[in-house]
Amino acid sequence: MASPAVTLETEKRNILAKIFRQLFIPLLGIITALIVGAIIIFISGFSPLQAYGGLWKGSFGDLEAINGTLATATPYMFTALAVVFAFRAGLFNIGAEGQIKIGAISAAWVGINVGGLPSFLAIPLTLAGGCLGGALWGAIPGALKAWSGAHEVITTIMLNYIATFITSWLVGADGPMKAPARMSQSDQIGENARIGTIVQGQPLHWGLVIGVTMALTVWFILYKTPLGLEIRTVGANPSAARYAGINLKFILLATMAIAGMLAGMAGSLEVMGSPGFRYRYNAALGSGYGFDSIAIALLAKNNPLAVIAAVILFGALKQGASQMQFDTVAADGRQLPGDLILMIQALVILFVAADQVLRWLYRIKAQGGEGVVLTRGWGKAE
Amino acid sequence: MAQTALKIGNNLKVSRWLRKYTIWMVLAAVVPAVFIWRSAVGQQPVIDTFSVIIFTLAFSTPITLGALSGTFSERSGVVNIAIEGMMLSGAYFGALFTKITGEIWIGFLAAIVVGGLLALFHGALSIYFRVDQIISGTVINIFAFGLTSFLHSLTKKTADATPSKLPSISFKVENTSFTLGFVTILGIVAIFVGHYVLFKTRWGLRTRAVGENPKAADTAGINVFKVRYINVVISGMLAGTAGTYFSLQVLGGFTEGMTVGTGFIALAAMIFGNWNPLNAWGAALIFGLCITADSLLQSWYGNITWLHTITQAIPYVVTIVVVAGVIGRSRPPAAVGTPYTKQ
Repeated sequence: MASPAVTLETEKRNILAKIFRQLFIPLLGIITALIVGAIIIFISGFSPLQAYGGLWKGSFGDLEAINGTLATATPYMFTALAVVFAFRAGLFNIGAEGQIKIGAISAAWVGINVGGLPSFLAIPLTLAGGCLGGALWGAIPGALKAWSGAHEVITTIMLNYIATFITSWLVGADGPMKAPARMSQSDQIGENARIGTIVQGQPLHWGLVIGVTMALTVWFILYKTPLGLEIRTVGANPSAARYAGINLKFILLATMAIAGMLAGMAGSLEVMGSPGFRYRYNAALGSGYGFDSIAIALLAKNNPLAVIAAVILFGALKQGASQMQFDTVAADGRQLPGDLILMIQALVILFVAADQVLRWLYRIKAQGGEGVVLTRGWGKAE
Repeated sequence: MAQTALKIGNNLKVSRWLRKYTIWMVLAAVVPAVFIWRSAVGQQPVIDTFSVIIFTLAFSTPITLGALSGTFSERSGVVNIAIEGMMLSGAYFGALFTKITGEIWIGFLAAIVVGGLLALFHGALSIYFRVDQIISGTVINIFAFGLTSFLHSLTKKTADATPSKLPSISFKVENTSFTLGFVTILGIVAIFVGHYVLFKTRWGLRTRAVGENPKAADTAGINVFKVRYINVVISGMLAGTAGTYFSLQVLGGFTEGMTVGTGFIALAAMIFGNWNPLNAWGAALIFGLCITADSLLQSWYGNITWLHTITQAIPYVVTIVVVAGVIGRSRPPAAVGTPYTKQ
């Protein structure tokens, strides 16, 4: 019979081993992706060392670079959570792009019209406006799925386009929210509705802290509340969930609304805090977020806490790309195109999210219960 | 009693028939409507009606081929959300090879081959490695976008302009000439061939069997893996062909990300058409019709921004309405998305 001290020791070792096991494959995947990337760089006639040096310098090289990386990562924190959250209920949310845009423009509308209120009222009000906009936009595919079985992959993609058309009309020529003499931008929101940057003169704003909080909150909701249990049950087996008395329609609607709210929050915070957008809604805000967010969710293997790490990696790749392009020059004066980063991103997802390939490559035996199942075909609500 | 039951039964049959042919009835209503409208406002009704038809056929081409591409892959049980990436690669390598060799048909073949190769990769990942098909598709989409943009910048935009475009047929109506591109005609032919192959041949039967119940198909002696591989590669080749519409037929060159999400619209058309090539074509035509409405209304009435927004949004709203209301719960192949494991 083992003494309590020994049990504790074994327990500790087990936890360490578990953490190591969970980190080993992702890290190996990232390293492999970088090696394959290096081969591509080398074949293209550039120096991989120079390229990765530039990438590092641009993303983590100094405080300014780190600040930029985190600032790039901030909105993705929310949109990736929006994808993860929906995935858990078996819903494939490609709609982050539309949800972030509608959220941002709603927040901008509220922010422009809250003149006179003190900040402690104006800021939550603007944020709530954006969250509501995103939640409503997200609820549409949820409701369609629940009541008519329309597949969310189709409806969310369509709603992305519709959101883009609506918002670019609102701030485009003759648009009702267009700033005077400025195309594709709204007016600035009131001073009272803005949130500050963390370091003066740097792009990173307090949205990052809210993002980390939301990651923890989403984790808590999913794993520690009855609602989360119901959501995960619906995701695991809709028919069983219905049989167990779970209100499937409500869960589908609520999940998509919450997912939309998360993306809407990202949009609001970009309008309220990002110096890059100058406290306006800009038509460029949120473009491409739909698929990037899915990529991050896959990278994080659908785990809300892993999203934090995944967005930082993604932010670093995005942020470091231009420095890499600038620094990597071949003998004949050509620069290494920054689009290389997209290929590295794809490889990272391949090796991390689909670790069968990695295991095959390194002859590692599979451990049980680590695969991700996302696809269960189309149109099968239950 | 019996009569009432029969009546209800007949009504159900009618509504099912209505549902099945809604797409075609909508399309059939458009031509006379345009004719009447253009006559009523005193314009050239014949020419305008022809413009609508020809533009619709042209704009729907990549969606048609993309939807057929998706149908082949999914009927055999493999989800292919990588159509967009395969299209983009087809567009790029088609233009690149045309530029390098100076021969447009080599470029055209290159596009098909590249689409097929990417699909082979998708097949290897999703059939052999049993990687989740959504992950595999996403990887290919991102990789294709990165690869084409990367090579395009690296080769100093060699594929920007091709020396020639694919041929097209011209004909005159009341002294106004119209053209139908090669890829457009090919797309229409492909739909009918695809429909025939899927529903009238032994290969089609095997494909559908593998997509519905791979285990039963395996028991009956069909090689599930082989059928899936071949269908996925066919899917990729069709997507590569769709890509040539952008670079070799319309623009005569490549620009980064030039397929602008058509691959996903094609997936919508595939679902909209209930995994049936002819109906998918109908759905693609409705998309094409909406794009036509957008560009023709602009040329007839000038750029009115709110009108432009509405006509741009119509295809997407129509898709949502149709997917939600008219067709309702569509029925995909039963085994789509699940890798097959031999016991």
